[in-house]
Amino acid sequence: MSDFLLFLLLGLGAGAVYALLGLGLVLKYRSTGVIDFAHGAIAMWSAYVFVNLRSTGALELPWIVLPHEFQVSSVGMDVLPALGITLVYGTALGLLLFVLIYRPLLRAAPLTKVCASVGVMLAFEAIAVLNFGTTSLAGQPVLPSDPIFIAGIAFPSDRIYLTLIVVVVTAVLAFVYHWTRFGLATRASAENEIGASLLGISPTVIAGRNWVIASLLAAGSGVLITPISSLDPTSYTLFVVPALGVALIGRFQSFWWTAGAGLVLGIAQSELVKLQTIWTWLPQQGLSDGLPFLIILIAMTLSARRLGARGGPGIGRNPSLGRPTRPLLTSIIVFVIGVVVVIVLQGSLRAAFEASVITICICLSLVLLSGFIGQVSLAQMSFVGFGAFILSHLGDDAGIPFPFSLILAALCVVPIGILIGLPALRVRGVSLAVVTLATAAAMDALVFSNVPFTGGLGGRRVGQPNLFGLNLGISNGNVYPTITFGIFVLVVVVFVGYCVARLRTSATGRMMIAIRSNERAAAYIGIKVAPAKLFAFAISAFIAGIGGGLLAYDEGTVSSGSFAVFTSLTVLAITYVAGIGRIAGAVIAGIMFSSNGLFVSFLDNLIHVGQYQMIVAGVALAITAIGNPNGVAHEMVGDKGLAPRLVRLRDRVFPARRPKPVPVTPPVPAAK
Amino acid sequence: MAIKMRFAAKAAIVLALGVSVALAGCTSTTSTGSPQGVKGKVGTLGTPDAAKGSPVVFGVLNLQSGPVTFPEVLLAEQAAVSYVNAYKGGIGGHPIKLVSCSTDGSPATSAQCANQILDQHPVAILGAADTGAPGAIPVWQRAGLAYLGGVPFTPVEQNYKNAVIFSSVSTADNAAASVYAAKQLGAKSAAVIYTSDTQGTSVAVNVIEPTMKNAGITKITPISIAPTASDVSSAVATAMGAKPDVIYINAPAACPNILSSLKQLGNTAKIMGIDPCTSPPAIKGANGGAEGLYFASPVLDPSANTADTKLYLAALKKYAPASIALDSLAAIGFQSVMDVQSALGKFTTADLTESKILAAFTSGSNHTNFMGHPYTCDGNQLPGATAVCNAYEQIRVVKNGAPTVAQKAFVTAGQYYAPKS
Repeated sequence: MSDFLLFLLLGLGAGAVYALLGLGLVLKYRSTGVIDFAHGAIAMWSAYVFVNLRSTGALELPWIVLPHEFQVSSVGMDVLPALGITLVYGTALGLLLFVLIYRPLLRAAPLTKVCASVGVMLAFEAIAVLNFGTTSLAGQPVLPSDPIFIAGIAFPSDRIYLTLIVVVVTAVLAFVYHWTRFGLATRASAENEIGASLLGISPTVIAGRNWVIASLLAAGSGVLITPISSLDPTSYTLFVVPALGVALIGRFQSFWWTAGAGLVLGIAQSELVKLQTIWTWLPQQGLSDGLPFLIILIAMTLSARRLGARGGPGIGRNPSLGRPTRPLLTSIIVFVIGVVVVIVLQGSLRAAFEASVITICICLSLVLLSGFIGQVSLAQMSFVGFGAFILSHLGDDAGIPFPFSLILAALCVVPIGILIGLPALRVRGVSLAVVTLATAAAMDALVFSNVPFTGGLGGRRVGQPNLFGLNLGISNGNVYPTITFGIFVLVVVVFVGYCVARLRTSATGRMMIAIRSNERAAAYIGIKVAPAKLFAFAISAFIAGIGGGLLAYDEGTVSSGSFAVFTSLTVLAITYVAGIGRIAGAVIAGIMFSSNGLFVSFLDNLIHVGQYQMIVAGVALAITAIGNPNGVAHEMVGDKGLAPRLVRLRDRVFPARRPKPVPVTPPVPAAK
Repeated sequence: MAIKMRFAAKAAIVLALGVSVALAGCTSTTSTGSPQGVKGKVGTLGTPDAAKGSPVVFGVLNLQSGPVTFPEVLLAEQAAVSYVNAYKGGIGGHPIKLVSCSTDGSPATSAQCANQILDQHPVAILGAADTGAPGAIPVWQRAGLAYLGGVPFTPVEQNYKNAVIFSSVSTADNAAASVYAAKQLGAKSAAVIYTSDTQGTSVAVNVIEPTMKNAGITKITPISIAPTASDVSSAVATAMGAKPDVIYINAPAACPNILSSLKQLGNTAKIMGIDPCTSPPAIKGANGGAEGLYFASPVLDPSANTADTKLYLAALKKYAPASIALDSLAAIGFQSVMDVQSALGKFTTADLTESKILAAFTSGSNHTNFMGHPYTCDGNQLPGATAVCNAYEQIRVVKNGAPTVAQKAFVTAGQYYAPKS
């Protein structure tokens, strides 16, 4: 029994981490409607600031290339001054981010807000990797950590202090937001912005103040958990996922429920570690890692209808949609141009172009899901990875020949897509983003760490596709990459693009767009929202599975590293920047923005930009979200853009058939 | 409004590209040692012998972005190249030129990088640290390029038929440490805490546990922790609850916290770990918990005060940034260049073919290995890793906050490491 008590007490450490971060997320959501995926990244950055102040006396600034260390003290600082500076720094950083990024997005569409915060997260994580490296640091104790004894067991006392801090912070927040004028003003502006404005309350000012308080909380959390959590750019940034889970349990409203859920989650994870040694039949890997994400999925499914919605002057506009014209002819022209490019390019640039085409396929799955029907998915690369590994098993183990193996692998991804789509029947927008992010993290912990499935370090080999004796693979003897592989992926991806274009212009496509615009209105006019959403998830998963299969053929060996959580965020980022409502957006994303695509490879060959790609993607994502949520493609298809000119050129070369005029028989004049 | 939006979109693109270009302008992944201005001490760095003429190009892929990076390996290799170009006459009097590409750990990026490197027509590939190597090795194989040195993380490069690797990290070091636990520390039971990612699981399940069993440790308690675990104390308590003789830590990122928790919870078992647990920041972060930690390294401790280590430190001081992490991986990077130059230094450019390059390493035995045990590339040095030419490790222990030599002679796991074929 004492063992279980020990694990309960030890679990308070992780629980405090989740609770503190979760409280900050609740504050931000209540005041701005933003679920801030960058909250963990801000905590991470503040932790680095604190640790470096303590160890070297240098203040870390969030940029690269320029000197990023400003010497505040010639020696390492004591805890209190370092803590004070870090809290002021974190507050200022929060204010800056609010003014630059989040304030302009207060009335933006949920997807826009998600993309902006993901952009901030990616940028901070990438800057931290470049400035601090990925070697994990451990902070010196901030709170007393001497062992204390309860019921004959010894454990570090800082867990108790952390828990007390969680309780005190929660109590203060609950008091302030329930009993003070500021708290009432916050609630008023959250529930009805117009009403609050009429009463003389500025919702923007209120949101800014709350954001600053939440940033202060993030900075404080980051500092307090350094002694118990390994400080590295990725781990800290990903703490936001379980923190989102506990904030969801608190419905992004209740401080007490959020704090309690955080502590209980930490304890549950800790007890699971103990139970794994007693009940050895339990999965030994991934169970405690996957628990937060399972909790998110269950919580979202059960309590979604009770999640508070913010009242506001209007729902933000979604990214603009394209409307394909003459999709068959366009597909043929695109295919011919693609073939020419494959033949003209050689070496690494041809390989990069082929990778671009495959990325277009993956981005098309997001265009359909997020662009057409407005469902956010942060798990798309998990679908891609699942498809790739399934293809490896079907092709190499089961001996199923191409193309059946590719189609079957993609079909195997469909149930996963439908499964993830189920919560989407009850939640939407940012909440759905949280669910899908949790799915990606759960698949990371439970599926992609499964060695028999993924082949472990060496990955799994994927045989080359052969059709009627013709080798369609990327290599043929010493020839790499082959033209035939380029043509093969072009055929598949252009066909997928054609199908997506036809779907967009079909009745089903119009139903999807109606759902995206207003679900309730769509339901009112007789559209069956739930089946349509599940259909979109299924088709999107199928396309992602096809993309995964092509990726597997391209790489020859698939390993789980290619499908980690951050890769899904990156794919969403580049698709969004390029234009998530248009097929042209997918093309631009694949060719221009994909990290292993044609344009970035060209730049990398020329001026070596590889390691900065993530920062550029993050910054571009945030700026696009603010300035032009319609994406680059929208600019190109605008009235004076490149696309209309290309369309006019196409129509001039291949004039559309006009229906033959029906001769109109003039009325016979009546005989005089 | 439309104008404003269009401006913002263009600003986004211009900024994105501008940032790329600006950043790239400050970065160079090629390194050609300059023989100009050499002022090193003759006693440490030797007599200057500058290389001249057209460069001999080697390709390098190194993990520089993503969740885990090893920039120190490339920095050490670049420093070593600068040194051999200035003091050793490069290769056949020609300077060595490294053309490198930054990878992020995914095989896709590594494959893309490998194809970019091929465009530069390298004579061979200098190994570095890249967990995405399974994506690059097929490219090297198709191009018929030898792969020399580096840190072999995955079985793919460890078994690449055209590779010669002078030190083993993640396999031979963990195997040797496991045997040391059983034979020298007398452990009969052990708890193994490992990261539940593919790397950690593979090493724990395929290397540490079977080697420990073969060496006589009868009770092993495996405990996995997530790479992003927020608190590792529960795993530590589980390990201690098994009352083992030794607790083995194979969790590079969480190591300081694990060691700190072990101390806080009053651990009395002996502790063993991996090289990243013993870097100065990790030892400091462990808050005293690293004291008594045993680990294995394929290279000498930089403070060993031998001719090699003195040269290593002097060359890094001269050619590498002061911020470089002086861990085993950096030493292996430096070692790779030194061994390549030692074997190929007298080659003419016409000799630099795949078969002749490989023959320089595979013929003969007990070649001098910079800062390491002599190597023999006969495919039999480490079971299950035919490309690894040296499985010898030095056992060290943390004392008074710094690694010291626990056993001076290099050792191997010998017959106790027998991977399943």
